[in-house]
Amino acid sequence: MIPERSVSPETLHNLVCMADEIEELEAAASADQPLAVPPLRLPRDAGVAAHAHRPAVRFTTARRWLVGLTAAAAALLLLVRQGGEVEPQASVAPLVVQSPTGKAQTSSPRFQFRSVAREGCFVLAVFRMWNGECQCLAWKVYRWDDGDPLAELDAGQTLDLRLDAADLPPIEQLLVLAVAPRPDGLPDTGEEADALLACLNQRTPTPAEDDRIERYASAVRECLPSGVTVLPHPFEIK
Amino acid sequence: MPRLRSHSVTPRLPADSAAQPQPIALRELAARVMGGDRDAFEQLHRRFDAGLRRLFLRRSGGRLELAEELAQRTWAEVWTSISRGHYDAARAAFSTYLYAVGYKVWLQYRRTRLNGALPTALDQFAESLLNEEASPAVFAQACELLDVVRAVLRGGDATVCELEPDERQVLHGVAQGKSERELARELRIAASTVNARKKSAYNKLRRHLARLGVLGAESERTVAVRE
Repeated sequence: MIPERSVSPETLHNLVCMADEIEELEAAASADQPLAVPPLRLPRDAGVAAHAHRPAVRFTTARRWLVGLTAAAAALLLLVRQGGEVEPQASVAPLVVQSPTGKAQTSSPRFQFRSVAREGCFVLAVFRMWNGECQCLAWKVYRWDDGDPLAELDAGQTLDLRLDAADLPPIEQLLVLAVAPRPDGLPDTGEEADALLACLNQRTPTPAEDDRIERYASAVRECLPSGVTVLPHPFEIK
Repeated sequence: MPRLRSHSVTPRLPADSAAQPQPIALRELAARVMGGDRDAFEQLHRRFDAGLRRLFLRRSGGRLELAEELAQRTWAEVWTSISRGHYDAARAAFSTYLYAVGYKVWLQYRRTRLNGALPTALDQFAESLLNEEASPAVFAQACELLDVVRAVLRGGDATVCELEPDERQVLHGVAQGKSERELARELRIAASTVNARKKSAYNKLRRHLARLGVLGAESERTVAVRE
């Protein structure tokens, strides 16, 4: 055992500081769940890889040649599409849709995109449902199942985002994606999401015009802070 | 006009897991987690995550994305160590264990990303207390030590704590980074009184730790920072 006198005041001070921080941590742990808790992702080696309740965001790797090919196609697609009304902000690295395919109604729609973001980012998707109504859904994208944060992805790596939308009506079409480098650019609480939806309700195009995806992109952009990039792609569910 | 209606601000979960759980005591949740109960772990995650992110936010100087990344890494690490049987709820509160693992994650980040940056005195101490190469047993012992100090600070049990409320008040203020002069002004007492209370509190704490034997030979490195 350590003699009493060998425990310095600095040691005691540091122990007290740490204990005080833990008390603070525990005091913050209320029984009420906060509104915006980031998804919990656990490592595969802990034996919890495939779980039905896991947040449906995962990372896949692809063959190098396939990545290069699809990335090039995606970049081309982006260049073509950026001729619309909304252009990504230069300060935000865009997420590029790689292989949108034909429509399909499924409870777990998937789509792929390439990220060249240097920092983690936050993604908002606006959907049109089978009955013509819209919904929006946001992810906080910063860590994948294999432990890699988005910030460490190489340009050209393929990300495969899968929406776990089992409790949503069948999704007809993914209209636009909005990407923000910081969470305060996208709705982070129920109230903020309500405000966004209310704003979109006032600005979305009439049925006669709703085939113009740029209009949705513009509507979404008008309802979000200026730092948010809205991608005017006619994303479709794969 | 298409109507926009419901929404989600986090990835949606299947209906059965989206149900609001009833509040359960932290100790009970921790015990269930030791048995591999993933739902209990998710409840702990929901309850502690905001506080953990706040801690990382403070350590990282307000870098939100980094704080969230480190929090994620901490949860993954906690789950892995619990899966390997490294956590014993009887020896340390879950919050203490979470904090200790989180500090270890922060120190790892510091080593890999902040080359050359001067660590704080607390970081240096934590490095010696929560050494990365320490065995799970030593890590558990460090958590136990922190839990004992927490109990002393919290007070309320004469057999556990012999600190006077005034002494605890001073220790709390010191832990918050307040100077003796600031505390004297705040408590409306002389600075010398603050100093005397602090010294008395440290002496009592030192004796208490020695009496409990939580500073055993195996944890000698925990007191490596000496006068």
